[in-house]
Amino acid sequence: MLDQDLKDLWQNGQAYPRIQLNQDTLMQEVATHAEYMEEKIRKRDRREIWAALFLIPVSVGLAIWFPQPLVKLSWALTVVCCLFLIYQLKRGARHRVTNFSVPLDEYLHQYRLYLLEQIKMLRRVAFWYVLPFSGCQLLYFIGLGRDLPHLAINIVVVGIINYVIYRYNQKAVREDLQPLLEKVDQAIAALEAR
Amino acid sequence: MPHAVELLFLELLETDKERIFRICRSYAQDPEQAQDLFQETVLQIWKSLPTFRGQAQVRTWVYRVTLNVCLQARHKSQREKRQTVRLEGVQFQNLPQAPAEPDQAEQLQALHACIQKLNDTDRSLVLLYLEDLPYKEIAAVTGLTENHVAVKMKRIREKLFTCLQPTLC
Repeated sequence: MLDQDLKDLWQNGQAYPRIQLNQDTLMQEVATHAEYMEEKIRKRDRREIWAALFLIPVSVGLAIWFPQPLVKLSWALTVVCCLFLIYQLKRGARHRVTNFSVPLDEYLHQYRLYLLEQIKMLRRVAFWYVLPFSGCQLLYFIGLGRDLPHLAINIVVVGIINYVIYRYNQKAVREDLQPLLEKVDQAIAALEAR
Repeated sequence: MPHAVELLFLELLETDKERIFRICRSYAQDPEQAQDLFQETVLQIWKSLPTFRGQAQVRTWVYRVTLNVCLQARHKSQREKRQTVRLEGVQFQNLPQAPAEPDQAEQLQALHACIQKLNDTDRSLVLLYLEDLPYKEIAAVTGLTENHVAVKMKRIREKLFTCLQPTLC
């Protein structure tokens, strides 16, 4: 079989469904869907940012409301943690691949960069989320002047919650992002190999 | 979006819909997923069209979007895979199949099976080759040099023909 026979077989030998385009409906739909998808991505990115933004005035209010200096300090530090959280989330999303019209090689490299950024961010979740916020929570409980048994319970509860958050993020890296990165690495290696 | 963009969009869809679908079918696990991929590609073409600067040929540009959408779908998590696009403006009509020549049907089945055995990127190259794109255009779609494409295609073609050999003999 010659090359041309193979191409003819590929292009003409297959029974595919007939694709009919209803142009008016399609134009309305693509415009709506494109906007909807953009909005969905924006919302997903903003959800955590909105939570942090919401927490800022609440923390400021609580810092003013509580009389104890350590409690005031804990809420003031929470504001700083929220700002740092927003920065990290924005930084993590900056390499999201939105342009599908680039060459395949470039697309794979861009996607790899995005995945690396996400993995790096989630691996360090302890430093930019878990430890700062649990530190603030502990400071708050200490500042309230609770007795030792109560304080111990608070510490254990805060510890467990934050440990679960940490493990959840590491699981996402291990089970979702890392296998994806390996797939993309294999695809790049296969494409660039001679 | 200006009217000219809409016209270009509809024109290139009418011209290239079969080619796009053939590629989508090769990356899909079943006919239904091929239709989902096709619709996703249509949507991405529309979204990306304002970035089309005319530096590449329209056909090259369409292939880029199609391959990137198909590869992205392969890299999606199970949760993301459930979020598919449904466009009522695109209808798929299953035609009554004319009885194919037994040899041809067998060869076609073998060709599909051999393509499935290739890795994702080799598959991209072979699909572009089967769509009759010259190496220069394949290079523009993939981002490789023309020489690199030629070297790779020689190896992939050998692999493909070796795989097809038992059916062709």
